Amino acid sequence: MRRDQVTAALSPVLVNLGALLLTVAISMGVIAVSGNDPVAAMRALWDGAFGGRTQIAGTLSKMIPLMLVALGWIVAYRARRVSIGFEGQILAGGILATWVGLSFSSLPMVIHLPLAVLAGVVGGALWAGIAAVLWARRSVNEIISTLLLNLIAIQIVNWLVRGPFQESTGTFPRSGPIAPSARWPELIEHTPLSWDFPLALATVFGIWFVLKRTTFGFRLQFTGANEEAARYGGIDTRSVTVIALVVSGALAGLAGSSLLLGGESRSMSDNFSANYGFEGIVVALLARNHPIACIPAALLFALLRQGGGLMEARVGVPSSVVMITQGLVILLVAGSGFLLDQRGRVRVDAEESTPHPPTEARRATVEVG
Amino acid sequence: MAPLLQMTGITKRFPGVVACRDVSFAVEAGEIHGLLGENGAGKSTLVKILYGLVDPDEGRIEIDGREVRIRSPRHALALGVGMVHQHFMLVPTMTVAENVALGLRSDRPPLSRLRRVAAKVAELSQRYGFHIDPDQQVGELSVGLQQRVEILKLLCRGAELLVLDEPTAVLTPQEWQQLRGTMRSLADAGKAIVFISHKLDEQLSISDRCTVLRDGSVMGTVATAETDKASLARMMVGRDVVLRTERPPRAPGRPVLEVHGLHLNAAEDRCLLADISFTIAQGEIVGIAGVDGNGQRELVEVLMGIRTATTGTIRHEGETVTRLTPRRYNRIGAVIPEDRHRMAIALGLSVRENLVLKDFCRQPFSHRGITRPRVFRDFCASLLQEFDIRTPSLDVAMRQLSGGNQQKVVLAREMHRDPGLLIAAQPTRGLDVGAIEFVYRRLLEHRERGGATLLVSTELDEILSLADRIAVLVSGRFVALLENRDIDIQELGLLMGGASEMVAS
Amino acid sequence: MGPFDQATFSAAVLLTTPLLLAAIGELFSERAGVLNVGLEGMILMGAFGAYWGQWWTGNLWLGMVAGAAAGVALAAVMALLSITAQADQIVVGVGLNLLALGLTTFSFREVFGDRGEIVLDRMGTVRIPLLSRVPFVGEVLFSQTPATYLTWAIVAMTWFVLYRTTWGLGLRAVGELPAAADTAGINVALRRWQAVMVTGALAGLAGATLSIVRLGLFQENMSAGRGFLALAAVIFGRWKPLGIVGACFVLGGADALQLRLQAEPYVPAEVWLFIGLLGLAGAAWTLTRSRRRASVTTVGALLGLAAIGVTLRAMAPTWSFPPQLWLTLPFVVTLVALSGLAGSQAAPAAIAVQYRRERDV
Repeated sequence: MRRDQVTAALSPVLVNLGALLLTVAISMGVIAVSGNDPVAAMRALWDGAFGGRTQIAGTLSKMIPLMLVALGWIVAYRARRVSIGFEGQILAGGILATWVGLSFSSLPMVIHLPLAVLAGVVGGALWAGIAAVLWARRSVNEIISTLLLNLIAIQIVNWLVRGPFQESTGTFPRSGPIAPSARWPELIEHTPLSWDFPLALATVFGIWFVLKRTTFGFRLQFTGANEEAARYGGIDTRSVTVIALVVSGALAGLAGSSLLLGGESRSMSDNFSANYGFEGIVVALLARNHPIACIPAALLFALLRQGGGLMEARVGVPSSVVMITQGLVILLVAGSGFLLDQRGRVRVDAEESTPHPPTEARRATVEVG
Repeated sequence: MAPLLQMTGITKRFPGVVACRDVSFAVEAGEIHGLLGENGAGKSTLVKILYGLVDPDEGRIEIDGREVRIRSPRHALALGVGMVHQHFMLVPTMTVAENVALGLRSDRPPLSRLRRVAAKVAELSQRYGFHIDPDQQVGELSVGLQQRVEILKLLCRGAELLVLDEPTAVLTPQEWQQLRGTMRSLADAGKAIVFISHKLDEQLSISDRCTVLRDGSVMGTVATAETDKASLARMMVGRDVVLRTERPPRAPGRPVLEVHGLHLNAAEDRCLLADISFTIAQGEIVGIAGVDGNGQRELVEVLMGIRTATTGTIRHEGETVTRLTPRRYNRIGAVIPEDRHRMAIALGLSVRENLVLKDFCRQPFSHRGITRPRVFRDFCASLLQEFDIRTPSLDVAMRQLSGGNQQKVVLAREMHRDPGLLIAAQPTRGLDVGAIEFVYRRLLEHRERGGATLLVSTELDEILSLADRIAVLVSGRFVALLENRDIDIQELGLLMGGASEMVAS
Repeated sequence: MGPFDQATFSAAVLLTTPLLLAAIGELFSERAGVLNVGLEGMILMGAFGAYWGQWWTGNLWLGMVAGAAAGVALAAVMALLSITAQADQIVVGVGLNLLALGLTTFSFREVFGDRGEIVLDRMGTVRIPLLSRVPFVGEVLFSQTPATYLTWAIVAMTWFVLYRTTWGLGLRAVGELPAAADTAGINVALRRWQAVMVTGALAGLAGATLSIVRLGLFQENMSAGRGFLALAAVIFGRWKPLGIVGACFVLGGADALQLRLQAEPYVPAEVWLFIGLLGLAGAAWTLTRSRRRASVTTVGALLGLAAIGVTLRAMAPTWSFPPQLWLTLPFVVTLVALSGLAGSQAAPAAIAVQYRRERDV
């Protein structure tokens, strides 16, 4: 029994490691195909991510949006809703955060910064709220609606950085500088790592607690496991789901605000979401939808991002290799889930192979007249 | 001449059990051959062997005197063996002709030539008196007609031996009469039919011969003309009399639930429930009898607030509760939903999580939105004991429990708080005898304690042995509301089939 | 006529072509019960494959074939993971989109990075004799590229295959009730594989029309969300070939219109009139379709829209609208269209549901 439990706990880790090793192998193959030295590329990747104080800080700061988006996916997926609108929600959150950051610059930091962060959260929540309401009221598939909302948000940002938000010279497609009072203070001096990192870590544990130990978490879990049974059990599954979608958007919006108020950026430019919205999904999948496991998974992807730059500069490996790697991770992790399922299923089959299959079972109506 | 089908010495073992032990029987062309037996007697394993889904460990199968090894359902069909499953394998959004054409070899591939198929369907339908329009959508047909479409599918594929697996479970008495006619005309045309049913009356009224199975062994094959119900029952269960539940008389108390003039309309003004009125008093079980799909599910859903009635009032202990939500209903009553897997439990979650569904947001299970796992654990452990739920631990997934234990989890969750009102829909569906007895005992205990119960069931025996009063639901209306005294099962069956007779209670 | 002239309609037909190809392709998958979110990636692969194929062979038609092949290659991964390994269809689709974006960007830079922009020969328009001389309609419908005609032929064939062949009958059954198809002797997994392959080929062709047919160029991420629009068009078209044609023309029309309007200094008065008429038509349609269930707010809102449109037409204000926001028009139209169709009873019942044969032995 104990050995069984250990195997059960270890097998996802092992399967994940297998998938990752395979991904690394394929990626090195791709690098070799592009005429570069895979070993040198890996060394560059490592140096770029952990080579010094600045590099490590950069890696850690890149974990922030990845963790937050992964949490967003996990919350929505608990209700079995597939939101792939994090790009759009990051942008929407970033827009509102930037707006607050550009205006009210006379406010003191203790008010201005929280206000800007809150604006980001609200922005993401509102953008996800559109999809949530369309789902609840009009049964619009959330996959399609969140994707369309991504595309719309991208164009709105494009317009803003060339229109209302554009910096004063009017030459570059980016906003003016965000007021210092709305920016996260540095956590380690002269590095991109700021105080939103501990906030993101706290959020990870907070979401973990909410899902595991609160009545809302229980409702969410039951709704996702069997919506109809949850409804019979007195759970208002529709509002639970809407809340889940909105919270997931709020998390992405927080990520959006962090991208603009913390780190290296000083202003909003187009495409500042930089694919974090999709990469975060990969992080969640790699973490097998467990909030805490998002921390190491996000570290891995932050490493790729941070080190990828040096890999390109030093060895000449194009950054699109990183994207290929991400795609492969999703596919291999999703595909290898089959191995885990298979183990569970064999047990269930054995369980059902008694001569009392539930479908056939029916009472013998015997009456002796 | 060799019989059309001869099974000799068939044995099949599963880990821990022998499903079939040295089973032999033969079916002649033009014969209706009954297969009779209780749950787990080996009927379904035998049929699966015949249909190529299970390989027997020992024994031989001969068709038309030639020994065969049946590898798959498709192979079985090629050998002339066709099967009508309990759950129809029909695509509701397609027409009859399309369903029949599915998987049929076309005379001019790759075209499907639906007109040809439709003509064939029309011709066969004519020959056997099926009254099927090949161009109608299957989803619009009644259950009885859908069953005929299943039979047509097999006839179009040249089946000589038809296996009907519990075909009457979903039929009204009228439809059963029509199915009898159909079976007879098929047999007259030289087809052989294996008719599986655990209902003695049905076996006696249609089968020519009947093979009785018990615990995986053949108890004997008898000509039905030369036997009677009592001896068949003895062969099947191995004892003389079957217990009937003791239901001590009890004077009903105050009314708990009063329903008056309930109507429920769906979109396009289709009427789902019409003019439903009844009361349930303390210590009373009111049974709702009827064939599946006559509004039972809708009635339950209205009563527990999942749907809102179009008109009518519902009162609980004198207070009007017409605009309920499931959450509010759960405060006044409990429910055992009709479809366990869909509406009652989450198979992927643990036993613990399924047990606390109704209690997790109450004190002491949670406090200000934070749950208390330790309280859950103690509570669940006591329920396991009280309701005799057999599970390796509280953390195993619900799907690993047997059907009976799953239903006990539902019962434990719903009944541990002595609800004043209980809605029990098909509470014994799919359970074995032991679990059924457990459910009955619990329902009667609830009645003893003065609880009010609404029992919805398609099993007439269940209704007759448990209910104090019986309402018969046909097409969303009560055709009768009777005291459960001196009613016999035939009378009830007649009412369920639509013979209206309004008797005041 | 303003922006609603022949040029806009011609452009609408042109822009509809890749959308229609991709959506019709997706129809095969979805009718078989596979929700293929990787459509966007397949289009992108097709676009690059076609460009590379034409550059390599020097032949445009071979380029088209290469595009289809690239789509099929990605579709094979989709089928392998989501059907054979039974992974979550949506997750796999998302992964494929990323993979395709990475692969095409990488390969494009590897192969063409140092060569500068190479513009290949585009596909010329072919005027169909007689028909193209019909005023207006002839110019709009019958003076297009062969790729467009091919698309129409494919749509017609799709209808025929789905509704008149045994293969199509089995395909639809697999998407509705796989167990029924299985008992009828149809190999469910194989049929789904075939359907996904067809989707890959058609999505690849759709990509080819984007790159080599229209521009003679490849650009990174040039599919630009068309795969998602095509996914929406399948829903909007209620999973029927003809419905999808209608949906794609609406979306393609919106795209053509926004391209046209981007060039206008301010919003032309005809647009306001069009909005007004749209509101009126919507209100009339709502009322005739289901008088009983038409909510007062819906009809009121539509009539209000009509009133605003007509008023603005009369005032003809010189309002300008940023081009970036015009770009969102097709997406907004899609969202509105989807929310106008409450419920999705028309969806194949087994969509995105894995099929495992029940071994209830």
